[in-house]
Amino acid sequence: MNNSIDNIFRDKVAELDSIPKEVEWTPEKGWASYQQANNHKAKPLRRFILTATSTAAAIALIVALAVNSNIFAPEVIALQNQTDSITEQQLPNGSRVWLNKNSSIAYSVRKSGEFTMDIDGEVYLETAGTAKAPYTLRAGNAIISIKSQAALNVRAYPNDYDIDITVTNGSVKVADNILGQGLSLLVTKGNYCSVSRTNSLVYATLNNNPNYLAWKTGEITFDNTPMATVTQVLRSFYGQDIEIADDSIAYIRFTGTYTNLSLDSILAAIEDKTAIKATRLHNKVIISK
Amino acid sequence: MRTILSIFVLLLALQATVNAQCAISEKINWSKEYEGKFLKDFEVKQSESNVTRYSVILKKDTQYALHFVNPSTSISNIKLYVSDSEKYPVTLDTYVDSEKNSFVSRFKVDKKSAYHLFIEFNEKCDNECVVMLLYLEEEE
Repeated sequence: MNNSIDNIFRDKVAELDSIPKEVEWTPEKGWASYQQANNHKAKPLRRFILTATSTAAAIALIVALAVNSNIFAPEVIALQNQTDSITEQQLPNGSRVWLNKNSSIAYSVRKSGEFTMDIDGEVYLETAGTAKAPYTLRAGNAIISIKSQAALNVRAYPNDYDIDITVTNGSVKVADNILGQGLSLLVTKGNYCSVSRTNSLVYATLNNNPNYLAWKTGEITFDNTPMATVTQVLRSFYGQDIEIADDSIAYIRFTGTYTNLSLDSILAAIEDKTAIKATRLHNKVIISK
Repeated sequence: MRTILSIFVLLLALQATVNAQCAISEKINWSKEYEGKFLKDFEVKQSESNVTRYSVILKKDTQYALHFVNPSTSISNIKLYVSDSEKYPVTLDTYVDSEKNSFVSRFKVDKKSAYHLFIEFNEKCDNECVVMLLYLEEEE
C-alpha cells in the first residue's frame, strides 16, 4: 500500500515541468520531508533491537531443540554381568570396575571430567588418580561423591533392605536422596556406610566384616565367628539357602580361612571342627547338632 | 561322684544355651512387640579404644529410642552420648548401668544433621557385647 502511494507521488513529481522560482523546493527535499513525516525509514536503534531479539529467539529455539533431543548429553555406556563369574573393566577415565554376578552399571563421562555411574547389584570401583571433576555414583537412593583417589565396594541389590558402601581406600561422601542431598556422611578408609532403602536411615561405622570382598577375591575368613554370621556369609557367597535348625547353634564359634573352595568343602570343614551337622534337604542346607 | 559332676556340667551347658537363646529371642521380641518404628539393629563390638562410634543422620524433632540388649549378662557401665560434628555432646549424655540385660534410652535433636553416637564400654565385654536396636518413636 505504502509502495503504491510512493510510486504515485514519484510520478506526480516527475510530471512537474517546472517549479515556481519563489519556492525553495526540490524533488529530493520533498522526498526527504515525505519520508520523515511518514516515519518511513526505521531508526537505527530500533533496527538493532529488532535484529538482536530475532537472533536471540532463533538461538534459544535451536538450544531448546538441542537440549530436548539430548545433543549435548554425554554418551551413556551400560555394562551388565549376567555370567556366573565376576567381570572386570577399565573405564575411559582410567578407573577400574569389577562387577559381581547379576550386576550392572551405566556410566557417562563429560568433557569436564565429571563422571556419573548408576549401580544395580554389587561393584568394586578403583578411581584413577586425582579426579578432574567429582565422581557421582548412584545406587538406589544412595548418592556417593568422590573427589580424590578412592577404592570402594558398593552392594545395592534391589531385594536388599540396605545399600552398603565399604571404603577400602581414600574417602567418599554418602547422602540419601530421600533424606536430602545437602546432608552427607564422610566415610573414610576402613569404614562402611549403610543407607536404608525404606527407613530414611544413613549411618557409618568401622567395618567389622572381613568378607565384604569375598565375591571378588574368593577368600572367606572366619575368626571366632558365631555360626549365625557364618551361615549368613555362606548364604550370600554361594547363593544357597542355609537354615539353622536350632537357635543354640547360632552362638557356636568357628575359625578358618578358605580360598576358592566349594560350599561342600567348607561345610565339611565346619563339621570337622565343631559338633555341627550340615545336611542337604531338597534345595536347602540344614545346620543341626 | 562322677554322676554329680556330669549333672553339674550338663547344668552349666544348659545355662549357656539358655543365655544364647535369650539373645536371639529377646532381639526378636523387641523388634516385634515394641510400638515404635523399628529402624535397625546393630551388633556393637568393643573396639580397642573401648569406644564404638556410629555416624548417623538424624532428623529434627524426632524422638529416637535406643534399646540395648546383652545376650549373656546385665548391661553395666556403658556411657552413651550423641555429639555434633565438633564432637561436643548435644544430647543423650548418660551412663547405662542396669541390673537387667536390656535398657532403653531416648533422645531428640533440634536440627537435621549428621551426628556421632558414641558407645563407651568401661568394662571388658566379650564378643558381640550388646545388640543395639534403633527405633523411631515420634516424628513431627
